[in-house]
Amino acid sequence: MLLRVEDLAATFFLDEGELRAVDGVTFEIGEGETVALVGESGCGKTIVALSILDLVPSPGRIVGGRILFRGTDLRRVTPETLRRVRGGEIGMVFQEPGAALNPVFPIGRQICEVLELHRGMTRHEADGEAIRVLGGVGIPDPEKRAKAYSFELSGGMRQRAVIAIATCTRPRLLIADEPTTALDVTVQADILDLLRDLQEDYRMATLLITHDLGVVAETADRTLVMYTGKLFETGPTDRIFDDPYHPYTNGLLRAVPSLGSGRGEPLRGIPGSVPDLLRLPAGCTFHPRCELADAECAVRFPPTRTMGPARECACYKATAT
Amino acid sequence: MRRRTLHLLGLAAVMVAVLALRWDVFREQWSTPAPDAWIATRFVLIVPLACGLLILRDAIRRRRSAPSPDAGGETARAEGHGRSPYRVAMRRFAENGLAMGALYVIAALCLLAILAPLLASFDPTAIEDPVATRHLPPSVGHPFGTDEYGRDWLSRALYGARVSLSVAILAVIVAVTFGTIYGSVAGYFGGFVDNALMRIVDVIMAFPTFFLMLMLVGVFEANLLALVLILGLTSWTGTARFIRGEILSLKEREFIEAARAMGLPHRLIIFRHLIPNALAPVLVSAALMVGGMIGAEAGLSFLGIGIRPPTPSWGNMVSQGREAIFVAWWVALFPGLLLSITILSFNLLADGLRDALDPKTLMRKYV
Repeated sequence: MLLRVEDLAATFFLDEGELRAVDGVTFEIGEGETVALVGESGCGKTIVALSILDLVPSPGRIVGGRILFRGTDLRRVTPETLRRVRGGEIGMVFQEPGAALNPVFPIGRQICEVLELHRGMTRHEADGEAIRVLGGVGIPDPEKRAKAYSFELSGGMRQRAVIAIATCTRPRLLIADEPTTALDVTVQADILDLLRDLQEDYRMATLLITHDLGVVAETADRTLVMYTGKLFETGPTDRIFDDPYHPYTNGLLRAVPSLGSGRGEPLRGIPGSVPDLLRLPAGCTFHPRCELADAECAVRFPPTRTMGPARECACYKATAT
Repeated sequence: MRRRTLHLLGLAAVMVAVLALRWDVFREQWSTPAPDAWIATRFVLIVPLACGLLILRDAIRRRRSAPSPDAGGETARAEGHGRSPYRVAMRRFAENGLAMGALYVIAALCLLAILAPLLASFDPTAIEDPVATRHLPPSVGHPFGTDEYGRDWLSRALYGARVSLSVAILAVIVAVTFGTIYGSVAGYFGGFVDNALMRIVDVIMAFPTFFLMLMLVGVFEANLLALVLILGLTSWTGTARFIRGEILSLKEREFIEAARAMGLPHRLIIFRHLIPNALAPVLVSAALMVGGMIGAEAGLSFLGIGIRPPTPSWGNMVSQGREAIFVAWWVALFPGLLLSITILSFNLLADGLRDALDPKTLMRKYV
């Protein structure tokens, strides 16, 4: 097992109170596997990603759990080891490619920096490798583009550059936090293809964080559905899409507009909105929005139950079919 | 190659030629052991040499990376490649007539200072015939007149430029370097470190800087090096404060998070990612500070505790003119004028830099 996150909890200590952004999240990612983490905005997806590299921004902090990467708990290693893992063995791609690149350095230099640091290359070797890597992520004319600054590139090119930086060390795991959200639909497909190609070439596992179920259906082997800092349902992507157990997953899937559906037919969202994480409802955090909720749901959060092979779900109402 | 690069290369060639032809004059100074002479002579030679090398390296690099005319889907974009935001800003600066004028004035003053041994027709410190040449008014032989000891005032002003400019620029380099690193460390690490470091700054700021300078100058031997350190180390607090502010906002940006996610050590994050992005306001304030430093040095020298005669500095020259203002107005006027022109030029330069480096336009695609 490449990565095993056990009972992870992260809390933000705000003036208004303690905000539990991630609450008891447990999942695994195997070598070369693609796992999607989906959920609405503000449900803690990004914090899970940042927790893996111990980058939760202040005033937030990991308050419990273990992050086992190839058997070692990243929460217990020295800062030096953690730095080698960051960028060296786990790469990260951010949502906003324009903001994730340093505006005053050419993109080639930013790749070199990582190569010099993690692969011990000399400046000269790194220069050559950077151009090769840029070509590898589909940037045309890489010798020239290596000297370009981020504001001289288009959004798609920037995201390719960010991916080049994150993957130039051939990490075992790539964390992609909404890698296509800020891009045009046509470019999105290219970037997803690129990620898939790199993953095959480098035999790299991917944790894909997104709220776009179309992206999930296309790329992920397994899917984790997250809501208010908790995992609601996990399982193989195709099985979840065919037959969601959790009413929330069901709601998400129904809310996706499809091109084939008749015009004028109302879109079906999930009623209500994501609750304030500081004032979570008692019991199941989804029960105020849930069609199936009854008295039991408002009392205690449902335990996570194993539902058939490789599937888990945290709902009293879920029944294996 | 562009015209401006040619100008600079031509200028550099002239400088090298002058240095080579009259090396005897400069070598004599180079070997002078006194610390005052060390700064006044070596620094003024090192600076143009360093600038020349930088310009040369830049020119070579530009030639190598000159965009080749190619037919591609994105030719228009490709042409702008490799132009850093700072290069764009410098281009905008070059379009600002007033600021460029100030830059030329400063360059001319520096040139005069460097070439002082060739331009000065008299020894700046020699007192030959005090009776015959005492307080001569400006004339062809003595364009700035002479002082009460009969020394040629133009020669002293030229050598004084070396002292005044080197002290001011070196002091600013000391202050800005120290302040930038100090403020970056405070802003980046935050929390307790930030609190402790910034309270120290508050304490230093609460102490009147000029009196602190007076005290330190009184305690230490007032040679040039000491003066540079005293001026520099009493004026870094402002830089430290605003750099800290810049860093505080920069470190929330995603590319810093990305740098951390790539496992960069703190040292590299601060020096390669944070400081270069926070440099624009530092440059502006550095240019402003040079003006202030020249003033401060002149003030200390005027009070008789900065540069001590016979070493000339514009400050102690004005001070000397104060005593003779009614009999020999030129003694105070010329160094005073030079001081004002220099300070004004540096302030105009700072204004131009601020306009050119405005962060709202710094990231504009390209001109």
